[in-house]
Amino acid sequence: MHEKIENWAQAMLKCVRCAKCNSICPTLEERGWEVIGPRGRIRMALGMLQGKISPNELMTQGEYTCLICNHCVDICPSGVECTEIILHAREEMFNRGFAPESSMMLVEALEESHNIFDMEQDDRTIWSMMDADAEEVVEDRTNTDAKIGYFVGCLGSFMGRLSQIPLSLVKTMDHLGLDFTLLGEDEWCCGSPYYLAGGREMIKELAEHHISAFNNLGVEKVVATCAGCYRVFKHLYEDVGGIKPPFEVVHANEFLADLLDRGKLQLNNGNSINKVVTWHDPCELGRHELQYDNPRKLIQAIPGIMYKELPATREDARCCGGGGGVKGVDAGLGMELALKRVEQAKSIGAEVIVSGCPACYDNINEGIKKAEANIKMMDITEIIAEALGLNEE
Amino acid sequence: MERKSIDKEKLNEFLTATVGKESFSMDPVMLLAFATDASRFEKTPDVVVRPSSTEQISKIVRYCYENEIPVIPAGARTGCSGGIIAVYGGILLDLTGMNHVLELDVDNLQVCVEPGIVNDKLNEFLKPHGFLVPGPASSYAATIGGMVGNDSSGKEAVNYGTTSAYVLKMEVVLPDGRIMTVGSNALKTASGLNLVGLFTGSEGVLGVFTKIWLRLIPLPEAEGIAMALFDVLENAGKAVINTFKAGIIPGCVEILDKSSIYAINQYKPEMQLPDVEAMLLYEVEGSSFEIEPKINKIAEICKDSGAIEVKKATEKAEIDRLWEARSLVGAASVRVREGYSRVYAGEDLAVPISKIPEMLTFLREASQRYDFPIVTFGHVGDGNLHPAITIRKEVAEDWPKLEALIEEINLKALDLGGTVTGEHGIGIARARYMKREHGEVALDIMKAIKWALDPKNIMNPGKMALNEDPETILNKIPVRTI
Repeated sequence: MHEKIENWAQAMLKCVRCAKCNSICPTLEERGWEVIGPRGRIRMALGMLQGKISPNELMTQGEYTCLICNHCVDICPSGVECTEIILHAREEMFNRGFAPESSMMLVEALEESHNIFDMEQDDRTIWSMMDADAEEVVEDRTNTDAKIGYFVGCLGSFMGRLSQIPLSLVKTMDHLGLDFTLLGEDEWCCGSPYYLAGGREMIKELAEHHISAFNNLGVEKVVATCAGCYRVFKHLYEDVGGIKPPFEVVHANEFLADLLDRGKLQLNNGNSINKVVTWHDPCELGRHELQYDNPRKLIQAIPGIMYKELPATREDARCCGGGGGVKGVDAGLGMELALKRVEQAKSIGAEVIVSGCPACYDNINEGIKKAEANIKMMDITEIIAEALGLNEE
Repeated sequence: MERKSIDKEKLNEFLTATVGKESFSMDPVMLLAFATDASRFEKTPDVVVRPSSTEQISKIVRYCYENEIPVIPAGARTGCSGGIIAVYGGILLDLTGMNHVLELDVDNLQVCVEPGIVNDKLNEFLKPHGFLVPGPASSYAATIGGMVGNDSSGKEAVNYGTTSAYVLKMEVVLPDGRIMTVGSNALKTASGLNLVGLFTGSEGVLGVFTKIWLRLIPLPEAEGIAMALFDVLENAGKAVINTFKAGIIPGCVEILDKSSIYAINQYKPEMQLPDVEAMLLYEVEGSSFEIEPKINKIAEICKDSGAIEVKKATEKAEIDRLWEARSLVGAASVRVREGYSRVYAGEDLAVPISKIPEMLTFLREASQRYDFPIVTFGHVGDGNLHPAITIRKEVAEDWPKLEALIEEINLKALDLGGTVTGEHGIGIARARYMKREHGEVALDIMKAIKWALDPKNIMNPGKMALNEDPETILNKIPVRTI
């Protein structure tokens, strides 16, 4: 049909249908139907390209319940890029009007308000009001020239229960005397919802906006606390938007681990946290970015912590269910997967689950509440701030 | 063969009442997803049903019997022979939802399971109890029902036998909907005709398994591995024969020929496998004190048979590393030549062990003649080879060439006194060799058995050349590109 489709077909031809991907897919395990697993999703994508099937509600359900967790890609012995194929299928479906309502609501919100919650951009720093000291810092630091730019992300900005994430990082950076800035109301959504919905072309405008905004402030390094925003800045602005950011892009866990390595961040004299703590690898940091060691190093540098690995960890980490925009299509699925992760945490006696992604944080936290588990969910920035005595326990 | 058209409205009503709306689908998207297995064939069923009980299956099969609708039982659909392809449409029973362990009876060394349980999941369950059920290389996905249906096996068959060696008893829904329980909870029986044996490996043409009782194998206490390298292919064959002659039955013996070694090194250069003509991987299982002497003896035999080097391992990490090479080879075949990907065809021959070198040489020569990369590996301990043929799936002229190559490979295996399938089954892909391999009389007997049990030919029709001309079936089923 056209070059893109031919490329896709070529990518899919590598599949020998061995079902190795199906054997580890969390959504297939929960739902059972072939179309809710990677082999079926690839089959549907190719069937659509070949004109054997037309997209419909079932296909939307199938392609948009992929968590984009990349486990299938990692495990595929034939090197099939399942995630990329599924995202291309979503793009085709988006263009044909078959993206799910939940995705389209986000897309519309982004177009209207530049954030996924359709809130006023004036409220972008509403999170800082939860802490008077931080509020003052944020006010001083917004849109100032600085070497470090902090990209908060929509979830941290607008979801009250996640405000501890940006508060913790801001307080930590301030405590360490770092030269940083924030974009305030000039911070828009990174564009991840466009990408997940299938409207990847729409990322370009956001790439231009954010790159120019940080560039104008002389930023040399952008730190993101959201694993999704981080990957968009790091890869998609160039791969999809066609603009390479002229600054370094790091996730908070890399940023903090680097400070620890350089002795700027000292945890050995800080607060002890005498708890059994585990790290949940967010898919977008782990399998997508191979960032396994930094968060573990940070957590284990905190005095008092008894660190334990979850049963499925690092490359084998199980998605918490919060990824891929799945909750919008099948909220129950997200919760069922969160409960499985909580169950794993309980099995090792974890008292705290730490992660580095607000979507994981929120979803696992919901699971903890539903399971009535005696476990606390924390972000990596939060536990570091607590160790530094910046957050009250 | 002409089939009656299906009254979909009536079927919809029946299924809604029998399994509920959420447990079946006639959506074309769903049907396409169930149109395939790992073979090169594709055909959509008319409906996919995910039943949850014997009673539901019995009602469905009875309905199909009365209305002459084909029924295709399916597991994980990782088969390579088109065994679950809905040749005439009909109802595909996706049994993967019936995946429970029903009863573990350790005292009597057996477990009763539903057919949809995955081999690895069952073994996860059995491990704390100290047992296992051996399975194929696809044990991560293969269901017990599918394994029994194909009489599957893998690398351990040389030691444990094929799946039929563990099936004690089964509950089967017969083509008219009757439920039969056959076999015994005793670990052996000499009673009556061996119907358990008949149904095992019947590829869904005689009925639907709904419960399966399996004999348990104790988990080996320890294991060790020997890797022997050969610069002369025939010497690898000699080494295997000499091992058996010395009275050693290894846990398994696998062979990787030059093409496999090349493929693995392309895929994972860090493996750094030596560029030799053949590599044998022996696994030895048993009590901890037995392992080392056995491995040493095998190493000695291999050296005496001409191995240029033998590496031994009894530590788990090293064993896993050596096995990794074997586990990667099938998929690594796609890495050999850019643009070529694997087709499951002619991939499961077995020959007498002494004929392995001749078969390997033939495959290497055929690969050059057809200009298709063929990566060959397999379970040399029982003569079972898996040539992974790779072609350009999008190039039309490669397909007829592939057909000619498969024909040559399968006929060569038969000429050497072997079989066209060691463990993957007949299905559609190998149906045309049934008469050649078994002879007219044996095939007539098989047809008579099928007719006696399934006079309306509703159970997985179009397979194994039992009712239809295999060439007609092959012409009827489109070859797909993925």
